[in-house]
Amino acid sequence: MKVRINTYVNLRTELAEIHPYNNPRDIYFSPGDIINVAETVIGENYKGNDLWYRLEEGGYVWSGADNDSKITVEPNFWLKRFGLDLLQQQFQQKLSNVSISILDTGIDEMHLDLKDTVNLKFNAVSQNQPTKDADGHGTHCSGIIIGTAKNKISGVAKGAKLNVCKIMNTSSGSFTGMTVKGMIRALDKVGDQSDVISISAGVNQYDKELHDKIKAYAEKGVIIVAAIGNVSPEDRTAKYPAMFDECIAVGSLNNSLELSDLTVRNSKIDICFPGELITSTLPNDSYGQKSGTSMATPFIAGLAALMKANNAESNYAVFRELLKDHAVLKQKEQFQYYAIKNEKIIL
Amino acid sequence: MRIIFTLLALLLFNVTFAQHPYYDALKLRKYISDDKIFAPADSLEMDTLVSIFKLYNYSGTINPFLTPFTSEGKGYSADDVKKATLNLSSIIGSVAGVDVTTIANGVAMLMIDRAKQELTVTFFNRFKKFAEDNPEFKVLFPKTTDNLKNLLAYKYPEMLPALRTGFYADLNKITYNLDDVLELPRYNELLKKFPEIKITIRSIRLVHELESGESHAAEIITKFADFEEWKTPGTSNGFKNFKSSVKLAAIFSNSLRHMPDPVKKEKDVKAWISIKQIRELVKDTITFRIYLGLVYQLAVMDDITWYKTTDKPLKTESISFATLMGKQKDNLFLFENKLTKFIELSETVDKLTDTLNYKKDEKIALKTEDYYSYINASLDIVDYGFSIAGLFDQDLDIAQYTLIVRKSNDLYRHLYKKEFTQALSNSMDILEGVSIMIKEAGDTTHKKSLKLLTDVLPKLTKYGLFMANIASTDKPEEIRDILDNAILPVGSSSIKKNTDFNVSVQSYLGAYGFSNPVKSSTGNGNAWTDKFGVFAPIGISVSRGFNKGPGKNCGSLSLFAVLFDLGAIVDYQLKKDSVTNSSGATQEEITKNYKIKLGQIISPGAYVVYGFFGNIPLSLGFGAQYGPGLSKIESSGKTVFNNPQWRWNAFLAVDIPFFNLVNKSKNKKSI
Repeated sequence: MKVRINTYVNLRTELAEIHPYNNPRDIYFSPGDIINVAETVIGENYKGNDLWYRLEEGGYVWSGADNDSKITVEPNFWLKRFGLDLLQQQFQQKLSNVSISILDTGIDEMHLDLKDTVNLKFNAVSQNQPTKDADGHGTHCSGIIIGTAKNKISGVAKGAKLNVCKIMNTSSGSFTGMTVKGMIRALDKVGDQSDVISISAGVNQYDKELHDKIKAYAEKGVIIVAAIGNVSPEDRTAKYPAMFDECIAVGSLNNSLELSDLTVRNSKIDICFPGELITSTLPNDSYGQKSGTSMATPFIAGLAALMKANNAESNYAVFRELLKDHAVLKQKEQFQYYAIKNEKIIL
Repeated sequence: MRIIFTLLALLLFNVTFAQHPYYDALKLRKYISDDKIFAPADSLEMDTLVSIFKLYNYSGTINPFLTPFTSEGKGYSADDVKKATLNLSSIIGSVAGVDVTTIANGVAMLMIDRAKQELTVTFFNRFKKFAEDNPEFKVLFPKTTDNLKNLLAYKYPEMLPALRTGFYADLNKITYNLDDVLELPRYNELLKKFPEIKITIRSIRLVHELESGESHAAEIITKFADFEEWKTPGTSNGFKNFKSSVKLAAIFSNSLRHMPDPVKKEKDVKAWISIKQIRELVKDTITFRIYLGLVYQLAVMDDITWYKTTDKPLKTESISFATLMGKQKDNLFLFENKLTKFIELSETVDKLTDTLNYKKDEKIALKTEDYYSYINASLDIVDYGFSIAGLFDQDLDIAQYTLIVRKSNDLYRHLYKKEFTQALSNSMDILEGVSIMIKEAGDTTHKKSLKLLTDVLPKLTKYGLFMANIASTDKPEEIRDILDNAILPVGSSSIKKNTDFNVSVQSYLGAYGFSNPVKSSTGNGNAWTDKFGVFAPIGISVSRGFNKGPGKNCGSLSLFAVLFDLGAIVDYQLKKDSVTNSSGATQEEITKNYKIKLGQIISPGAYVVYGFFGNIPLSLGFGAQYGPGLSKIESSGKTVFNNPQWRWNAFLAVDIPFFNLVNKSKNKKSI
């Protein structure tokens, strides 16, 4: 992760503390400098902020130095971090045989990094309408999975075939247009043509028809990856379909690989992956950062696609085992969760 | 008045509401997806949807009507004892039906006529004094007060036409003066303390705006809801409920206001949407639910809540309109019915406005009836608006809180129809409504001011009704009857029961019985010596009443000193002979050729009389009386005289007071 410094700040060499002898060579950063952050650590509390950055080159910088600035994370940072870029190269050919369906807000299929990736598209909200993404959420998720890197974003499963189902017009609030029926229509449309389905959305209520549908496709070997949901002031509910046993439920980690505060805490979570400040594609050839379990999900869906490229017969159960192999049990307050290990993933 | 429709046209063009549920519902309907939920397709639609909902303070929270349209993903009236009263003229009429030349009848008639005259003079003197002593009367009836100042009571017959003109003028202007009563200095403290009074004053003036053409009915409803006084903290439950009813009426009215197309030039400007539009609204269930959802949000935003205090245990319960709506969320027919009724009433107003505008444009003379129809229809819709809440929950007793408004409306209606007595009654009801609200508020610090108001109301009513009755007729006989009724109203028998001390000239008519009948020397039974007979004495009664205080209904106890006894005459009057006329036909007839002398009906005696509880005009008496010389009148008209003698007897009779001589009461409310 790269962070742009916003004000003058000293490099602390020994400890994450402000001490007269903690910078003997008098090294400092000026506004605009970019530092390579290896991890965030808790250090001395200064001005109410005890969060520090540990730099890849060594030493510590108080995080307050970038309070008013944008943290700039290098695109594709997480691919490299977990070796996904290597797996992508390894299964590049086979990925073309893998179909990934994204059930979201649609897609800007003319984006520089998404052009010529769409195989099938369907609007489940208003069936006679296009799948154009007016929200950005779907386009963002698509970039994470399938970005072509023609300009900037490289997707985890770059080269795979993409099916786009618009199951909601917007991604937030009470007027998204999303219904269980819409989700079912979408599954009916693309289920049989999918190896992996990525759903960065969900509903609060259990629905048997939806469950049966998910179950049926899962039994056919389709790996369905869904976001567990984000915490909001009025809603702390884990979402369906992530709650179905047949789905891989994904939570979000922060940049320190700790559980994100916005992740709904539920034991059904199979895996947590970085989901904060993820840079990806946005409509109209733009790029931007989004955070949430929605962002962590396409990473895992992409990983599922890589596994499918490696072994077409694999299914959600196999994938779950793979994830467990690459997860570490962590605890935040009383909640235990599986987080992706801070290591390169090997299939 | 004639500028009314020019003003109306201007008013109707200026319909600018932040929220407009009808039109907003139509807009929002466009954003409903295949799955019958809101699904704005792009950021522009989302911005429109969110901005509309923001006006209703709705962000996807629970709303029984809108929630179903939100996403699942990411997402709630004997013989009258013949006239039991055979009133005096009927008795005297019996006596009067008897030859007027008879001394008894003559004396009685003379006495009665003089008494009436004296009482009438007394009445006008009291009327004049009341007007001078009570500023409320001066404010309410200024012209009459001036006329009374110049009244020489004993010359009232000459002054009556002038008084009548004054009554007429004052009653016609009563809506202008009624609110001023509450602004009298003596009520200053009440005015400061109780927003109820200010609301009353404003409501009266507002309805007056309708009459003057300053406001349309729709504007009346809106203005009513916007009164600053509604914001007064710490008011009574009644006031809060009144506020909620008014604000709810405004919500429904405003939600159905017609918005003129800014591009099209509409010839006829309407205040509310049309019947056709309301039918289209309710026809599409989705649009109708969205509309109701927006109304629901407005009810939530304005905190439309009703309160009631329960006795056991003592606590205040509240119910919000949002809750009532929520209970009826699946009963769209109910909402459809109420709204359709509202629009039907509104359409009548709009049509009448159009008609009046047309007549004005065509220079066709407008008649009072034209204005009356318009005012009447406007008040109908205001009435209906304020009653909407009660239509949703019958247990919600809101009628009493909106009484003032309804009475204001009725007042205007009655004045237009020149129904002065009803108008006067409405005026008094309004003032009484104010006093009830203040009492309910439970504030004890302003008892004196409140008492001034409650004490003056009955008298204002008494004199006001007299004025109204006089103003309502120009027939001399009717005016005479009104005067008779004013000085001694029918039902006066109850006066003695309601007063501490009463002295009156009166009569009883009924039956007597006694246990020591004595046969006359002639051997003939007579009216005086029969064991049972007709009882018709006239005398002076001194009474004490016991119908005092709430719940007390114990009647009266009187000492009745008898002067005359007309029992024989009345007994004869009750008999009818069969007479064959020249044509051979037989008919019932009374012969009236008897003669009696005054001395023959003098019959001194004394009774203790109990006037029955309640206002039943019956009395039970026991006492002794020295019989009159006249003991019987035979069917031929022959009079029978006996030597007078004493007897003890008891009677059950109808109480017929002629007039009161003294009337004292601790309770000033008695009249």
